[in-house]
Amino acid sequence: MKKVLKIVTAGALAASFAFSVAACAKKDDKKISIELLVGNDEGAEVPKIAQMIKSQLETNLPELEVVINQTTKKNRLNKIQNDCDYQVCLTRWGPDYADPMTYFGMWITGTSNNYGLWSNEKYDALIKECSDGSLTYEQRWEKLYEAEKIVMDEAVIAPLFTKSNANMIKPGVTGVEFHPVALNRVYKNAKKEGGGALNVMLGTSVKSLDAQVATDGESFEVIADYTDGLMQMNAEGAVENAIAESYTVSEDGKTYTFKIRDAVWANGAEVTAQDFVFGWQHGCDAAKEYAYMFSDIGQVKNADKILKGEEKEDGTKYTVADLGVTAVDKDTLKVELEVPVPYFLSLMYFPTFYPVNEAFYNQVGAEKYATTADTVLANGAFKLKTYTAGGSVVELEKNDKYWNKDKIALDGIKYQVLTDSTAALSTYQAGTLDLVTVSGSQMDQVKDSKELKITGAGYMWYLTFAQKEGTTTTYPDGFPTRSKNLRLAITNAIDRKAIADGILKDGSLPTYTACPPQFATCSEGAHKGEDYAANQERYKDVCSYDPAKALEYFAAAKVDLGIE
Amino acid sequence: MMKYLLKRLGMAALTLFAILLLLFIMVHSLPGSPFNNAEKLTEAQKAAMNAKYGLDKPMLTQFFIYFSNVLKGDFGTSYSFASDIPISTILDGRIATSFKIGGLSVLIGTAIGLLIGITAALHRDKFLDTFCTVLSIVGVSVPSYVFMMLLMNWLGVKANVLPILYKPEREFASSIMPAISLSLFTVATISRFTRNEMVEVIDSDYILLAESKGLYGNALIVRHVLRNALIPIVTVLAPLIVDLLTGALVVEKIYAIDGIGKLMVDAVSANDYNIIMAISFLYSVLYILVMLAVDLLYGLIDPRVRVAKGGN
Repeated sequence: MKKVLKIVTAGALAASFAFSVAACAKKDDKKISIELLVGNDEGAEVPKIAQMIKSQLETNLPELEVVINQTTKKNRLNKIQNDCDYQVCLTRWGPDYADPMTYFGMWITGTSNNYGLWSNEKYDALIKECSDGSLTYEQRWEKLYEAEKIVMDEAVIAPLFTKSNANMIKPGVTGVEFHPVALNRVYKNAKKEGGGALNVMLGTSVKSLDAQVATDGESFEVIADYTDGLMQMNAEGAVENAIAESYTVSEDGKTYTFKIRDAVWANGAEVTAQDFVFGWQHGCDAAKEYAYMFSDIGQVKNADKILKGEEKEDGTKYTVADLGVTAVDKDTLKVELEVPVPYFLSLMYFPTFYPVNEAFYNQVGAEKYATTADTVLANGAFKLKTYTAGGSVVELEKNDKYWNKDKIALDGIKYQVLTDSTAALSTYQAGTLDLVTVSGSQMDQVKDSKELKITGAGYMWYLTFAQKEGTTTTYPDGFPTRSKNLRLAITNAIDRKAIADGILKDGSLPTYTACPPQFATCSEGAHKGEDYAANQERYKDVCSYDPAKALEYFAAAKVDLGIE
Repeated sequence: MMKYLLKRLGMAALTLFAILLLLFIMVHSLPGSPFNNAEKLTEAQKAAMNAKYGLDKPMLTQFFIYFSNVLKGDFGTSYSFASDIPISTILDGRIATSFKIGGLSVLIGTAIGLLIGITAALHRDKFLDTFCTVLSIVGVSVPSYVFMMLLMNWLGVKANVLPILYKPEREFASSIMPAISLSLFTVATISRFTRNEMVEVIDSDYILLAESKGLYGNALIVRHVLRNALIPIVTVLAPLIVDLLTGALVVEKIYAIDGIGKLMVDAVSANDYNIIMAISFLYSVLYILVMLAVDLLYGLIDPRVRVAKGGN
């Protein structure tokens, strides 16, 4: 027995010695090493995607070493936003509004979302031109492609894929709308055979009922069930009138005048233009996370000055009373902008721009407003019946005072928060849920089901590259991705289709453009109706799956970095 | 007795203060911000939000403000989990829910565990003993997630006997499956402990004496064997009770229970300082109280301990 043990131990030692020698030898082949920063709490598939990217890169670029660093989402965001404390990071971005600028705004010099510290004067100038209202809608649309070309030629990012969502819907349920921007799911136009409330799920609990405080998709979804803004989305995602019966735009595009229709709040009070003035003033507060919708995105007059606390000529500070929104009379709302904003109307269905009834707000008090079902006031298709802060169940019932109530077929909506996908699917199969979101790992189980529906989720996963010069204590060897050729090598060495088909399996699209498809549709001119990123081959000479070209770029990278 | 109690309570208060201070420093030293949309906030906005919540003041100042609020019963508001809602509102129903399900689970776990343990001890080295041992090993080894999914599938989906998810309107019925799932570890641990302790006690001299005096059967087991075996069991049970009462993440996640276990994990991921502090504080208070109760219980169960304490 002892002899056998001795032989086995000796054998094991020899094998491990040989293996480590081999590993060391292999290490010598690695000329460039990069660290890939990944979140470990953003979904089960994310670490798998990182692993696949690592193996693809190391196979196609044998002299590249990829070291994966897993951390929490909060931590990785902290690292990429604070002076570029990373080398390569797998990150995602969702559109805030239905225009490509929501992505292009990220790569202007010096913004906090320019994670790679990239700077290009020509790009900055193009973006400025597209934001100051000097171009027509069509000219701007074309110019944006010019700007995108710079981003792609320099491989500022390596786009990977645009997420899709797979959902199962019970056969008797129709009319559920899925949108990639603002309101991910809209149920108010749905019909359910047999009547009753629609039973749906939320992936996480609602964080706030206050339209001007909430920042997450789940809260927006629920708020939009009981509140209508000036505009709403139709089934195709295009803008259509809601509380605004009609609108006019001035010649210079800087003034919008909305006519408020006859509508009432659930307590009988009329919905007036003043409700919008109060709501927007309530939202234009530097301590509210979405305040930038009024300034940077919506360009409402004086919003930026109010948020920055700037002073007027007479020494007093700008306050919300100076915000460019006025109630001309009970039914007329005037909005003034700093510059024309082509996508302004589509911002009006974003909850940040919803109205708030001032009398109700004062009656309930700022402390208690929007904390329970009784402290919010509805003017939408439904009203809140049951709600506890952070709770698992939210119930809404039909609002019989709704201006469009004849169009609403559902008796109510019942939300159940389900964070575990297996439990969610079991609940759906038991019949307690009418709609469920299916995770990638469950796709094999359900892929042949007739109840499966795949829709675009609108957000894009991509790799961001650090382009910092010099070294830091965390990265004493510097940032190899400052070499454009290395970035191009990486983006051309990734097989996005394999990732989408092998790991995601939920219809997510491999993406080869800086602005992803499925959310930005041209609304006028020669390209009307076109998806901005419909042509995924537009930049194929710099971004595609081409291992041979990747190796060429890699060789050039080695020269850039002075390695050989 | 009174002196002992007061001394323990005094020490508890000091301990809790130290815990609060330590927690505060640790939690506020975590990287990242407690706000929701952190990636889309500009520097100016982060500064404004920090100012609004008083997060820009020096750490110790913040702590003293926090502590003085705690003494008044105000644990602050949530930053991102449920924006601006006071902690007491969020914890309100959740503590009760976690306690009820945890309590049920303790009862089930202890009862079944004791039963299995006693059976095994009384039929030592026979088939029943082996069977109970295997049962408790399986109970400890099966991953709770798997067990829960099976339970949900058989009793909930297929047989439709119990509701799948936790519903406040059918409180008792929907607490059964979560309580059983939670109690697995307790059953296994208690049964093993009970069996081993009882076996040891059964072999001791005083039991031999009792038997020779003519005591046998249930009277012997309850009055002498169990009472002697109980002390180590109570020792093991105390931390288990605290664990169960404070909720288990996996059970709460799967059955969609609004309890404090899941809330704690969500708060830690979101860096929501006030929730983390409040729940950790609750855990500490609970642990200290349970330990105190256990110490007092020793006095009740074992007269030898009573004399030793009283003799001070």
